[in-house]
Order: sequence, then structure tokens, then C-alpha cells
Amino acid sequence: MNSKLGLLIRLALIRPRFTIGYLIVASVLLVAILAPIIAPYSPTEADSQNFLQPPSAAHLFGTDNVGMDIFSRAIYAPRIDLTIAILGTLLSSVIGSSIGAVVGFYGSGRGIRVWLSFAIMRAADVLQAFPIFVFAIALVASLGQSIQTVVLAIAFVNAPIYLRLMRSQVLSIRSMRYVEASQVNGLSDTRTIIRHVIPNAMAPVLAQLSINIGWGIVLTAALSFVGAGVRAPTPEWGSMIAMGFQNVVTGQWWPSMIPGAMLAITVFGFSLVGASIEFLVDPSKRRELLSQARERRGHAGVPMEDA
Amino acid sequence: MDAVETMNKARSAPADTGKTPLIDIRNLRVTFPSGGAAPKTVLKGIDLAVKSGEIVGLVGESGAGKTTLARSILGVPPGPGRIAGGEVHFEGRQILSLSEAEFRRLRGRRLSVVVPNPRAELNPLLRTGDQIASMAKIHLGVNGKEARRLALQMLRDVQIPDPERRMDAYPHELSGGMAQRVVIAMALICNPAFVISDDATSGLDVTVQAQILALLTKLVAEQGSAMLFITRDVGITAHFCDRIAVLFSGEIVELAPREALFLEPAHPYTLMLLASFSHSPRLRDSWSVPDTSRRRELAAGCQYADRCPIAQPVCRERRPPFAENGPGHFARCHFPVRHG
Repeated sequence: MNSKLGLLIRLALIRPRFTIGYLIVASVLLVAILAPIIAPYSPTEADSQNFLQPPSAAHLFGTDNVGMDIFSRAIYAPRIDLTIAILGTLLSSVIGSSIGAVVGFYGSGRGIRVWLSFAIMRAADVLQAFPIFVFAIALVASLGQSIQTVVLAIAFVNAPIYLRLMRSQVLSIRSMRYVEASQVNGLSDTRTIIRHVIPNAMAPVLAQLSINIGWGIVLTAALSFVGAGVRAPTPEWGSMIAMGFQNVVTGQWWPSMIPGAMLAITVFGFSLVGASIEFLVDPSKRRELLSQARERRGHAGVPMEDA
Repeated sequence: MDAVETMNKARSAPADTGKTPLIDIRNLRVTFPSGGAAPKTVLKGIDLAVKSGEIVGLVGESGAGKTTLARSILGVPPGPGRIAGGEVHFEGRQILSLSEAEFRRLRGRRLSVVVPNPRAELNPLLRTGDQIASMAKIHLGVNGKEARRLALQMLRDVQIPDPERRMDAYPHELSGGMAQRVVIAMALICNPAFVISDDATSGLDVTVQAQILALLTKLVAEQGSAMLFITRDVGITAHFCDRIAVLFSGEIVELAPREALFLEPAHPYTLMLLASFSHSPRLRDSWSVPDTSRRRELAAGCQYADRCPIAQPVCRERRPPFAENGPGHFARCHFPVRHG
């Protein structure tokens, strides 16, 4: 595993934008974890004397229209946003990609399996035909407003993405010779799927995971913004933006612009991490990148050759 | 050539012809679905028996059904193919009627295939050592450490350079010849009784090819296994096969001991195949290969009739019998070529 870490560092050096992504994600995580120590005020306590104060030494990012400290709220917010987005995305990827792998592996040929795969794929079409946001609002409205519901909504609306992604990967990997060879070598279907099919299909799924966490944060914030997600005074970027947005026209930009900017930067960071993961998990892509870097430095590596 | 000598030395013990066959393929038929129409029969009733210690060559052109046969013996025909009939008797059991779970325990353990295009046959995400070791782990039930030891020993046996280092190499770091050795190691690690080499040397240059062949025959001889050696190069089989079968359009058209096949080929297709490799101008002129694109499937009659230079009307009407023309020398032809 030490070599994996070394590889990560080398990748980060070759592609500086990956470094930016890692730094953003790492600092957001760090800030969220350390929020109780860093925050100068309670994130939910209102100081009604000092509402809509501009940024100052006492209130680094100012206060909002009920007098809560925006800096404290903004660094507490990722605790909620990230938890919801990560849980929702993990749930959707586990559900979506395991169904996708099975559908892809058994989805051609004859008999009941084909009909079942067909039905699952058409159901995924129906899910994806809805605008994601409207669908998520409908889910939250029907299941009741809570953090768990938002997690479920994110899991549900994203699952078809993983299902499709995994299925399309498995469709091509299933006909790879090493998969056929594993049958010839006496491996069971389950073992073949777990050992040979899924690992080779994982690269784009892992990349998508990180990108989707970014989207999940946006979706959480958006749901909260329209009042369907997390409710004030719980610190959450979307509801913070919602609380402050009427004041922007009168010049008090800080209550909504600051959480908005943090939201945007965080999502950007997760997208970059997603792009780098693809390089990390695919050995041939990784090799390509590393050898490019070697050439640029001017000394080509010595390839292993048949003696 | 040095490698050829090694091959023949390794195979000094002749096959014991008195024993019951190790594997007996009887009337094996495989069909492929063809979009609404009647399924296409790719193997039209294969009969072939191989005894312990014997190496049988199987020669055929592209599309003759070589790989389909190799895979069907193991019960997993390629792609949408389906075994439509026939039996495969192996170590006293009709294995095609075994349950999937029972059959699976034979594949890779008692019966194994050395596959072509070795680099594509290896999982790109797993180190070669782990892939070889996993065969031992799954089939022999040994623990991880012992499996790795066996894998390393196997890499030494296949004479891969620097085996310790190759254990930790990924498939894309191997050359074609090394990958072929790895695939052989995977196929032989469980000491299978029957090895099918499916065009294992195609795509390698001739010197590496000779090394791999020498190695394969040596290992098979050491382990006391039998081998079905599938190739499209009839010349290779002359070096070490005890008997040679010629596959054409899903049928074995000729089966003969090595000398008989090369010296007295009975089927016109075999003769043509040999002529195409021959340096004799007389043979080439009299038996030049006609338009090979002509390959119409005949419902009845000889499959080769459309390409055969000596075909008669009867050839298109009646399927020729698989008749014996000499000791152990069979040909499926109405007008077998006479020699001498």
C-alpha cells in the first residue's frame, strides 16, 4: 500500500490540477472534522442585535439576517452536506453497479434472464426520464422531510447511472478473453464476476463516484434551497443560500455568496479527484501517464523484455 | 533444429495403444443460432479418442471449428454456441452430462486449455503470480503461501527469465512469449490429465514458437498427460504428434498416424493442405489450392465437394463414410487418394 501512496504523490506531481483537487477535498474534510474547534461561534445561535453585519474581525464572513455567524455556519455545513452526499452516492453505486453487473453478465442469450434484464433496463429508462431534481423533490415530499430521506433520494436518482455504467462496462468485459478463460479454467460465474469482471469494470465507476459526490452536494443544497431538504437553523450550504438570497439585491452579498462559493469549490474539487481516480485504478492508463512524464524528463524507462 | 530434438527426446516413450482411451469424444455436435433461420451446425459429429501419453494434432483452417471443439470438450462452447449432441467420456465418466458444479471441478484441474493470444487471456489488473496461484488455490485447495510457491515453481518450469520478478509483473509488462509461458503455467499447475493446446503458438516468431512447443511437449511428457494439439500449421504437427486429425468445416476429414498422414494422405483436402506447404513443384502444380472463398454448406454430401478438384456427382449427394484406408488411417472421402 505504501507504493500506492507513492504513486498518488507521483500522479499529483505530474498533473498539478489533481493536486488542487486533492487539496480542496482534503481541506473541506479537515475543516468539517475540526469545525467545533475552529468555529468562533455556535453555528445555530442567533445574536439578534448583530444581524446582517458585513465581514469584520469579530465575524469573519459577517452575520446573516437573524444574526448567526456565517463563518461558523459555513464550516459546519460540510458535515451535513458531505455526509448526505457520500452516503447517498455510496448507496446508489452499490445498488446500481451490482444490479448492472448482473444484468450485463446475463443480459444476452436466452430465457427469463433476458426478459428480466430488459425489464430492469426499461425501469432505469423511466427513472432517468424524470428531471432528477423534480424526482428528488417528489421523493422527499412523499417519504417525509428528513436527512435519511435526502440520502435515499440521492441514492435512488443516481442508481440508474451506475446501473448503466456498470452494465456497459460488463458487456464489453464479459466477452474479454480472460473472462471466457476463467470459465474454461473452472471458475464459477459468481467468482468470475467478483474476481475478473467487476474489478476491470470499476475504473469509470470509481471516477463517477467522486464526481457524483460533487453532484450529491449540489442536489442536497438545491433541495434545502427550495425547502425540501435540511431545514434551518441546521447549518447547510443550500439553506444558507436560501436564507440570504433576498438580501443580495440590497447589497448584503455575504450571507449567500460565501456558502455558494464554498459549495462551488467543493464540487470542483470532487470532480478533479474523480478524474484522477481513473488514472489511479487503470494500470495501462497509469503507465501511459507515467511514461509520458518520464519522456518529458528526458530519460525513457527500461521496459521489461523477453530475454 | 535443437528444439525439435529436445521434443523428440522428451517423447521417447511411444503411446500405449492397447489401453482404453483417456478421453473419448463421440459424435459431438455444436450449433450456433443464426438469426431466425435454422441454427448453423459448426461441429458436425466429431469422433476422436486420445490415449494417455498420446499427443494428437488437430489441423484446420480458420473457421473450421478448432476453437469451438477445444471449448466444447470442456462444455463451454464459445459465444452463443450450444452443444447439440454427442458425448465426451473422460476418466470413465460422460462429462457433458455432469452438473455444472461437478464439471467446473474438472476444468482447469483435470482438463485444461492453453489459449492463444495469451496477453488477452490474462486479467490486466492482477499480477501474473497471483493469477497462476489462484488456479492452485481454487482447484487444489492449498493455502495462499503454498499456491505462490507452486506458481513460482511453475514459472521456473516454463523457463521464464527471472521468475521471481515476473511473479509481481502485470500482464501488460510481459512480452508475448512470456505471456504464453504464463498461460502454460496456469494450464499445467494442477497437473491436468488432458491438455488442449489451442493454437498456443500462433502470433509468436518461429524461434520462440519452437521453444514453447518443446516446453509444452516436455511438460506434458513429464506429467504423463495426453494432449490435443490444435494448430493451423500442419508443418508443426510433423515434429511431435503421434496422430493427426484434419478438421474441415466442422468435420474430421482424415485421421492418421503421423507418417501415414504425411506420406500417404488419403483425403484430397489433406493433400492440398500438404501441397500448400510443399516445396515440390510437381505436387504444387497438380494440387494447387483452388479458390478458398468458395465454402458453401451442403446439407447432404461431402463438405469439401465444392472445392475438391476430383469431386464427382455422388460427392454432392451422399456423405462419405469415415472409412479405414490403412491401419489406424481413416478418411471421409468417396474417392480416397491412392498412393504407390
